[in-house]
Amino acid sequence: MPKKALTLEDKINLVTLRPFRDSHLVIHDQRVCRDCDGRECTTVCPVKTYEWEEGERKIIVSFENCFECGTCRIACPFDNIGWKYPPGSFGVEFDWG
Amino acid sequence: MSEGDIQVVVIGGGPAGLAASMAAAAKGAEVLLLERGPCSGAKNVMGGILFSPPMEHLIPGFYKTDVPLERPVARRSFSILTEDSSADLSFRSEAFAKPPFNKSFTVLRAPFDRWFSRKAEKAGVQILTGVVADGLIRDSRGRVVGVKTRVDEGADPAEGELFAEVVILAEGANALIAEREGFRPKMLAHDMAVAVKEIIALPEETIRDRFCLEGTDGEGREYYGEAAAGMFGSGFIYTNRESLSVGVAVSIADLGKSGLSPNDLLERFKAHPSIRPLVRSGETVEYAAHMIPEGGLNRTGRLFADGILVVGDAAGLVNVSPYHEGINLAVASGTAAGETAAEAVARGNTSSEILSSYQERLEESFVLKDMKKYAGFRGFMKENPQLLSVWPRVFLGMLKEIFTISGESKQEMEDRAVKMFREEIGMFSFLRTVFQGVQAMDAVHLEAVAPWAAVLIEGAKGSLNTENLDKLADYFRRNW
Repeated sequence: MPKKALTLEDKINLVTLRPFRDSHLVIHDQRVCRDCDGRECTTVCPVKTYEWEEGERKIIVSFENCFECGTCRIACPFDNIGWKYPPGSFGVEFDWG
Repeated sequence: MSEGDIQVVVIGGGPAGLAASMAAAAKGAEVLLLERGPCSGAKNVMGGILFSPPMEHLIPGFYKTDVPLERPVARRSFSILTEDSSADLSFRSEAFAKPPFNKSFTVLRAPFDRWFSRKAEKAGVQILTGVVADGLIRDSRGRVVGVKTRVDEGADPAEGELFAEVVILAEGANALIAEREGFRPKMLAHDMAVAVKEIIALPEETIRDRFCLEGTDGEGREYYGEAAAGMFGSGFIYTNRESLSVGVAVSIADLGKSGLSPNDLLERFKAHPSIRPLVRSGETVEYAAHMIPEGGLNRTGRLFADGILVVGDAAGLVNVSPYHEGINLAVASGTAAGETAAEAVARGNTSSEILSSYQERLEESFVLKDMKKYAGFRGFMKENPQLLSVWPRVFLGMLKEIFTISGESKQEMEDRAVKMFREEIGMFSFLRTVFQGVQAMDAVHLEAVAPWAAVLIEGAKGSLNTENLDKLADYFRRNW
C-alpha cells in the first residue's frame, strides 16, 4: 500500500530539535529584504526558516527549526543574515546523519 | 589534564577533527577536542560512502573492528535522468564484494562519528562536548595562541579562553571562523552546495532484491540531469543495511535562481519513474541537510599560519569532480595536521615555517594532488551548464528515438536522432565542450597512456581562443 507523502513539516518533526531561547539567526536590516528581488532565503532553506510576511513587509525567521546548515548565509545576496551557532548542545541533533 | 597542559586544541569533532586529534595524541601530544553538539555526529550529515584508505592508515584493520559500517560498496552506478527516461552505467566487481571491500563502505554519520570519537578518547584525546568555539585568540604578533569558546550571557569572556600551542580548525563546511579569520575567501553561492537527504527504512531482503545485491553487498548510485532539475548537482541513493540514504545535492547559486526549495527537489527526485520503485513502501525515518564546499582548489585558502592548521571541509578540501569525495580528504588532512602539530609541539616551535610541513604532506598525498588535478572542474561546469540540462535531454531523446518501435525504417529514426543532435548541440559545440572537459580534468595522466591524445588535446587547448577555433569550426561545419 503506498504511503502518504510526508510534508516538510512531517519531516522536520522526525528530527530532534532543542531550540535555544534566542535566535542564532538575525536579519541585519529588514529594509534590505524589502528591496531584494530574489529573497533566496525563503526558498533555499531545507526547512523553510525564512518567510516573507507581506503585511508587515518583513522576513520572519523561524529559527527553532534550523538544521544549522548555513545555506541561508551563503545564499543571501546582500550578506544580510547574521549567523552564529546556537549555544552548545542546543539546536538540531541527527540520529542517523 | 589541567588547562595549562593542553598542547593542541582541535575545533570540531567530525572526521577531520577526530583524525587530527588521534594523530596528534598518537605522537604524544596532549590534545583537547571541542565539539559543539551533545556528541560527535549529532550535527553531521553525509551521503554517503566512506572511502577508507586514510581511516586504515589511522586505525589499521579498522573495518574489522566494531566500527558501525552499513554495507561494502560492490557496485557503483551513474545515471542520467530526464523527466520520463533514464540511462545507466553500472560497474560491479566480485573483487569489490570481498575483503578489503574496495575500501568503500556506506555509513551513517551519527553512529560512525560517535564510534570515531570513542576511538579518539581511547587514544588519549580529551573531548569536551557542548562547547561552541566562536573565534581565535592571537598574541600581539598575530600568532594564534588559543580559542575563544562561548560563555553564558553576562559571564566574563576570559572564562571561555583556552590556550594551546597549536589550534587545529576542523569546524566543517559552514566555516565561520576560517572565513572571518581570513583563512579562506568568502564563501560564495557558486562555491557551496546544499544537500538534503532522507533515510528511508526498508527490510534488508527488500533492499537486497530491489538492488540485485548479494549477502551484505551494497551499492552507490549517482543521478544527474533531471535529478537536480538540470542544475549543477546530483541525486543519490546509497544502500545501508536496513535503509536507503536518498538525497539531492545542488549548487546554492543555481538553487537560488531556480526558486525551488531543497525539499521540492528531493520530492521530485523521489517521484521520478526510475526512482519511485526503488523507494516504494519505505518509511522515512529522518530528514537532514548539510552544506558541501564545492569551490575546488581555487576556493581553498591558507592551510596554516603561526599556531594554526586548517583541515577538512573547513579548508574546502573536497574533490569536486565526478568522483565527488570528501570524508577521505577530511581524514587524510586531519591526520597530516595532527602529526604536524605534535611534531611542532615536540620541537618547541609552532611557527608557520614549521607548520608548513602540513601543506607539504598534503601535496605529497592524494589530497592536494587530486585537488590540483580537478582545479578547473567547477569552472568548467559553471561555463557549460548545458552538460546537465540540454545534453541529458538531447542524448536521452536520441536514445528514445532509437529504441522506439514504430513502423518507420531504422534510417528514418536514426536521421531524426542525428538531426536532434545537430540542432540542439552541434558537433562543433560538442567537441569544444569535450576538449574543455578533458582539459579541466587534466591531460597529464592521459599523456602517459595515450601520447597522441595528449597532443590532440594540447592542440585543442592552444586553438581554443584563437583564430584556429574558427578554422576548426569551419571544418566541422563543412564536414557535418
